[in-house]
Amino acid sequence: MISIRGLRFRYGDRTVFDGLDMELGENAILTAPSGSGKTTLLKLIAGLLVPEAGAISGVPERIAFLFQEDRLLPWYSILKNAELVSDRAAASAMLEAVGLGDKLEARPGTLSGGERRRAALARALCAEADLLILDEPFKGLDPPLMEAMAALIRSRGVPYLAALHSEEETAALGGTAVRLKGDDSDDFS
Amino acid sequence: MKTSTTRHRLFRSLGAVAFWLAVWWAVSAAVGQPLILPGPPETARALAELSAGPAFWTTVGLTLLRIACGFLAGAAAGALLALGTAFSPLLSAVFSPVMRLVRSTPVASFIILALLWVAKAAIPALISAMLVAPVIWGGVSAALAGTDRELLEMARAYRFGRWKTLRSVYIPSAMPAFSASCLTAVGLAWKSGVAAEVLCQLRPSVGAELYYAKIYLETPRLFAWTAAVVVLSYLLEKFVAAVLRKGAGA
Repeated sequence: MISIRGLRFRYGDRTVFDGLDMELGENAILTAPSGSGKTTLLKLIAGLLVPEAGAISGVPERIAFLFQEDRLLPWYSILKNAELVSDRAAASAMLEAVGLGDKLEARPGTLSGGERRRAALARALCAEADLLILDEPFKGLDPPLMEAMAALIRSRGVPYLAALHSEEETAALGGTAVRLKGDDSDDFS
Repeated sequence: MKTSTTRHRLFRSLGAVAFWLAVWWAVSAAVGQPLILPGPPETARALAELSAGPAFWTTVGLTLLRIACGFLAGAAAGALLALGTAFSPLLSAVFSPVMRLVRSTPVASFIILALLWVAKAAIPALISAMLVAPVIWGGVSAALAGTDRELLEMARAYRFGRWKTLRSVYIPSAMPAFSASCLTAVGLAWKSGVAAEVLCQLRPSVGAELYYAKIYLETPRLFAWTAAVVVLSYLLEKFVAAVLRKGAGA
């Protein structure tokens, strides 16, 4: 259980959170319109941003983060990208599982947007982690691929915290949906 | 299609060379005094005579060795200093002004000072290294400062640690700038290294041969040695480019 108390965060003059309190259980899904701070909250939870005030507790040390952008290292093959967070066998197996088994040595720049997304997802899923943080994991994927990737995430058996855009995505992944507002949150599942 | 483009480019380059050779020939014919401006035939004849003897190859080989050593030392020092000044405010405070100073100081000042302090034989390599290092430092420093913030954030998210981040994010990010700086620096290494050989009158060396050719008014030989330097510089640049390309592909 991740517990957030009195969280305050600003980007320059723009206040994103001002005293946010929230509890996030296993497999929580943050839903909210664009610009309401989902990505910022995920980064605060991962320790990538430092809050002005407040506390976040219950975050495990080992996390895997799938960013909204793919953030694959362009000078390495997708296998090498995944190997940076895992061993070769696990990296290779996960890339096979996302349907990129025949493109292990391809560099990200040579892949389509959907393939890069799956490669980034494979990297997150093969990492030794106690929490998966997934920021729009299905971005750019068509519905059948989205279903397949959602099943793969669930089958990994690692608790996840995801930010999703649509109800279809939320239904596909499954979990406790939490609506995020600027200053508060409430369960709507 | 690709072959025809390559062939087209080759013809264009050869055409440009032929044009400038023709200009040179025409001007030297107009001057009419090979002692002042030898034309391409006199220069080619002098180069053929020089290259027929083993002394030419020994001289060229030693100059090449000095400049290659200077270039490698300068490139290594520049790259290491760029890493140091990028990550350590203390190293940056100490070395950044020195690099800027070295970059803007006339090469002749360094050569004359080096003549007072350093063994003659080491001066060309030292001067080449001193000219190369700031160029590499400047290029690599700018590239390190411009490393993609999103990739660095990804490295933090996956707890890469300092060495892994350096090896897998910073260094590959800086490699294109390192390669470009190396190619710029090869020419500088030749210019400064040969200038140092001229001022040191170190023998055997291409620089000393240039100096004595000028002293004895052997202008065709002066042109022949200059042509040798231009060809060697070009070949070394191509060699460095091939090595860097291979390194980038590995």
